[in-house]
Amino acid sequence: MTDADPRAWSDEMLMEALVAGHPQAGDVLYTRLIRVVEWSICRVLGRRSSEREDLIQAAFEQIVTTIYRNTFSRGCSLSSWAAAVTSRLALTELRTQRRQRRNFGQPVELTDVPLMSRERDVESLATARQGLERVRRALSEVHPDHAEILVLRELNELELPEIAQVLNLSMTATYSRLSRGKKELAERLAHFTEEEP
Amino acid sequence: MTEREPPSVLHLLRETEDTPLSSEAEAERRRRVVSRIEALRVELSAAGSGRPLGLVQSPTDAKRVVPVRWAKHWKVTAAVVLPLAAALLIWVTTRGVGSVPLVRVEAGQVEVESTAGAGPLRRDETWDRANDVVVATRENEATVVLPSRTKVQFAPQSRAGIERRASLGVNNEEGQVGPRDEARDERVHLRQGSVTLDVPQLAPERSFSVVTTQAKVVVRRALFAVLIETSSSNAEQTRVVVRQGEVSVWSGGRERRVSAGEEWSSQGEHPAALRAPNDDAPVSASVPSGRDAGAAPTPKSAAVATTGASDLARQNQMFESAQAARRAGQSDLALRRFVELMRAFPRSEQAHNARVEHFRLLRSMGKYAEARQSAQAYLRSHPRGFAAAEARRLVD
Repeated sequence: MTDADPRAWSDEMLMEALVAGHPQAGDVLYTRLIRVVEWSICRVLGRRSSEREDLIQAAFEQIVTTIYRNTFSRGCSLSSWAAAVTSRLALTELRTQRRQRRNFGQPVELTDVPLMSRERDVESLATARQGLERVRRALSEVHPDHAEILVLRELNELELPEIAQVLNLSMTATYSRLSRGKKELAERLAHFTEEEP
Repeated sequence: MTEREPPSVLHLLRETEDTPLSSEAEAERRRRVVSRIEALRVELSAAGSGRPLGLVQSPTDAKRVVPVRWAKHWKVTAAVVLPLAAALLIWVTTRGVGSVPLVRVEAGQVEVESTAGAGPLRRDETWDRANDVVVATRENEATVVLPSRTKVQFAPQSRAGIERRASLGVNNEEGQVGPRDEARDERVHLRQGSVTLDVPQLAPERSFSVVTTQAKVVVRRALFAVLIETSSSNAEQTRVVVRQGEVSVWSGGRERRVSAGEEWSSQGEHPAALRAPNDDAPVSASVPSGRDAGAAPTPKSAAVATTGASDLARQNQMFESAQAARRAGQSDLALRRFVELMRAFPRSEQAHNARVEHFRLLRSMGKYAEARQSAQAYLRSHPRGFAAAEARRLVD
């Protein structure tokens, strides 16, 4: 393993190198997973923030810990595992932010979420931002187990068998949670629409 | 809404645009995360956790961890675990929300509101009935102390939420991420007015921040002020003035470092908003003097004064040169340079620092009478300055 170019290590080799204390293992792990970790957070929480940097570090902490303690599901790829770990962290943070807003009544650093919107005028962007905020709020109120599967499927675009593998669920349970998550999200969104004139 | 709609709604989140990090910031983050990975690896090795923990492999969801060995000895396990759980429950319920009060009033009086109740809080009184509380002042100033020993000085007519929360992290044997067992993060949500904060050096795992609608200020150790002001166009803006140390200001998805002697304003939200304070301006119109009580300007009276960068650079240079002489053991030269700085820029921040270093150096040289005189001069010019207690001890 040590003769191979570290960048070409398989997931399995990388994990072995990490546990064995290979000097380049941390750097290779970072390079391999940073994009999926960053995107998983960005999709759930939106723009770059100081929380995001903390979450990135916490995600890597958990990934390393689970690899080291042999509790990582080796049936899936490292990147799917990273997506699952990070999405859970991001959802926890989203729920914390919701509580924060309820208590202190103000958004945190979310005044101008940039979008890949084709409409760049202020009004369209404002509408798009409101839409995003509403979706995030709804997602934060969905049952954690259901929200997690929704995020992995709809945002991280993992296939159902892979989600089942990552979460150690049966296919039936995975599909059932996904369906319930969709329904719950739709209900929350409908509820918000009713609340707003 | 049909069942097909939510995925399309979530699709919106997929289109959230990411702001790329600068190459320097990316390199810094890589260094930080990789070193954390390495440190964690060492910790885990030292804890002997590299071997399987008697768990069935592959539970990503830690809730599904199946104990194998312990399950065979469930009676013994129950006999050990149940008393421990009971003891933990008693401890949690009797110790209150935290061992240190969330808020202690050091000076003045504040009004507090929280889900657990509301009312006035006077000097030396504490509040610890919840993990968050809204603190407000009326016509008076007040200073409160938080669990991290951070002092928060409220200007009149100020209002802020104070929150203590557990940070996320690996918090159990299974490596599950969630709130840690101890509240390590403190946040001040400034909603109105201004606060001056004196944050002591925080332990690495702790964090402190001030949040406004425009920015989040993250700090490890600093003396700084955060002000919410109303611009001429009635738009609310945030201003951050740093007197000592350094803070990170997050706004518009970007981070900016603001160091001692600099200030940042959300107006325009661009780096050009960084300005240096006018050190020779009258105190009432200059930047908040931090540890000087009452110096934090009220929202509408705070004038933003600027000065030439050359003045500031000159002050820094003079201070640094005095410090260099002190470090080199040239105490007399250092004393002369501190005095020169105090004469050249008597009302500057660096003169404040120079006066403190002056009496400290005299004391360390054994020149107690002169040190006392210098300390008295310091107390006259900065009666509530950051080294006032130290100066008083010397005078007494």
